[in-house]
Amino acid sequence: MAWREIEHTADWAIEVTAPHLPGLFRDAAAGLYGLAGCELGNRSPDRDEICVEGPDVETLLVSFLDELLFQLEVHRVAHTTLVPRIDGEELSVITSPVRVVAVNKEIKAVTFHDLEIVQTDDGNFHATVVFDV
Amino acid sequence: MKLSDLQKIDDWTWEIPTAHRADMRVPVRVFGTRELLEDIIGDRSLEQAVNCSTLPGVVGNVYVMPDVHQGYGFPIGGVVATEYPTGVISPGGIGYDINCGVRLLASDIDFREAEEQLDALATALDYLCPSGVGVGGRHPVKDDELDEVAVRGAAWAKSQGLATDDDLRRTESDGTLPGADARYVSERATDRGRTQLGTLGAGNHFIEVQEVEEIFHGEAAGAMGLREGALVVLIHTGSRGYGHQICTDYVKSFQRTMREHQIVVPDRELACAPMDSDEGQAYIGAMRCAANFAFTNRQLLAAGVREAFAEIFGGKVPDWELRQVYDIAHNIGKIETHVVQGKQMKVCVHRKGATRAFGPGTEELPPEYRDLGQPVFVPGSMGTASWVLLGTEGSMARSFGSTCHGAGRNMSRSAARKKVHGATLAHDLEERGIRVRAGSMRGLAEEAPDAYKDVDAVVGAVTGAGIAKRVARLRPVAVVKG
Repeated sequence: MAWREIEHTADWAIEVTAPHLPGLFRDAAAGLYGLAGCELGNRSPDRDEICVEGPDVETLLVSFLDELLFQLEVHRVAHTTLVPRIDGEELSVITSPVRVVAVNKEIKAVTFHDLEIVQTDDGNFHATVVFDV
Repeated sequence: MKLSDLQKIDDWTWEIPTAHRADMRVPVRVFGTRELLEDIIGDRSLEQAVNCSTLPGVVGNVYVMPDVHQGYGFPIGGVVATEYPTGVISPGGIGYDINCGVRLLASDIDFREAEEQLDALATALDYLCPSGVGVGGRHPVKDDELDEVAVRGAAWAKSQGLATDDDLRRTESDGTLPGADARYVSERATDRGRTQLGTLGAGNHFIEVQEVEEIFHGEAAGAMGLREGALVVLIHTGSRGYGHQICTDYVKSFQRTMREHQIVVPDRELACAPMDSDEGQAYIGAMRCAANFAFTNRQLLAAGVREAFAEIFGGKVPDWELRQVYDIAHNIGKIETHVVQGKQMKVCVHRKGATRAFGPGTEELPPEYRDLGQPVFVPGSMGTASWVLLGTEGSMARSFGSTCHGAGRNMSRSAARKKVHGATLAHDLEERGIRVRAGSMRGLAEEAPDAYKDVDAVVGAVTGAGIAKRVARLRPVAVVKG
């Protein structure tokens, strides 16, 4: 698994590692859905696109995960098979939307807490994302 | 942070002086015993409090309550005041769950006489007070109605026949923050809030039926309608997705705002804007909308609680009706006047995991409380006591009229899940006479009593420090959680 839950006193946090930035975004999304305990319905051939803007890559990640959270909470949709593309201050993600059958845990918000996307000597990208619950 | 970084002021108060770090503008004052402090320094809450002391316009001291634990940006259990209007306002200093707070309802129903009906009461509460992930409220509203809720707060509930005049009088700010402006609330926040009005949510939110176990201040208890051995109900929830999204929106937008105003903060969750800027005023207007949503939310849940009591006790127990004691916020920003360095100053008091605790003589309080002080509610964890306190003159002088808000966590959610089995915990609570209705056993495990600090010790610290006084101790007999 490219994400894992880590200790945080009051809330939930994940650590994400990926060989490239688009992969980090994709795995962070998987972490959000994993923590929320989403049960997915059948896949469909539909495609969707999520676009967000931000002055830095951390804001892009928070904005992207915030969009996923909104879609999950309001429309009961999860976005899978993500193909993220980052171009300067813009992120666009082609997705396969899937109906969500059940959500087991409520996430209030995606925070900037301790969020810094870093690339280590091995070339991998790492980030810690904290969710308010 | 080490204990040696703190200077002892008295047995209940410690200080981190500005010499501790070059960018501190004001000292940090921590309320707690030495034992509580040894627990507090185990996480980053004091470092976060020091970060708060760097905010532009911060005045007085940053105050840390004995139930503090690490948050994001601001610690949870902190009070920060910034000079109005030129100082900053920070959404992180109020929290994602804007106006998360607590309401207490009192009755004359004797616990011993009602005990046989408590299982049925717990089930009725679970049914009539929607809780849990994705569960909608019983009063869905259209967008224009939601805007009305956002501006009018609990007064909207009264117009729908779901609140009394006494309910409003006995709510902080009468259940309505003036100056709410729905134009500054995003469509996204409205979408999230539309179906969630009148819902408890999940996580650490709850409705608890309790017995008044012991009274410490007879006069105050009498004014509040609290009687030893009687049942009361505590409701803990906030502004749901509506408030969460408002905070999210402005934490994000303030990242850019800070660049425009050349503000640098040590933590991105301290994102802020000057209160006299367009962005600052927009957040204040939106924040007040969320606060009013939360007052209304607790009002609608109280209506559900009253329905449950009517169903179970109506016609069977005399004087079964519930009356409101008070309703308080513990995640909020308020423009108030306080004495700072000997002078009256208008400030924005950010209370995040801290409760307003105004002392005797406060004009806003209803007449029955005005000479006593403001009621304060301190929920413990499931299975432990909760407390009713009073605000004091001491809190006005020592903590911007604030005190603690709860027991505070001392264990992560993942550690609690590993240590505690939810179904076993539910069984143990039932064995102790605490009926449990929980939407998630995993969520229940995360809220295990072992995950929280000792609420009696927390209350001992705030009363020792003179920023609250004891009125009554409550023990749980039924819990509803999402």
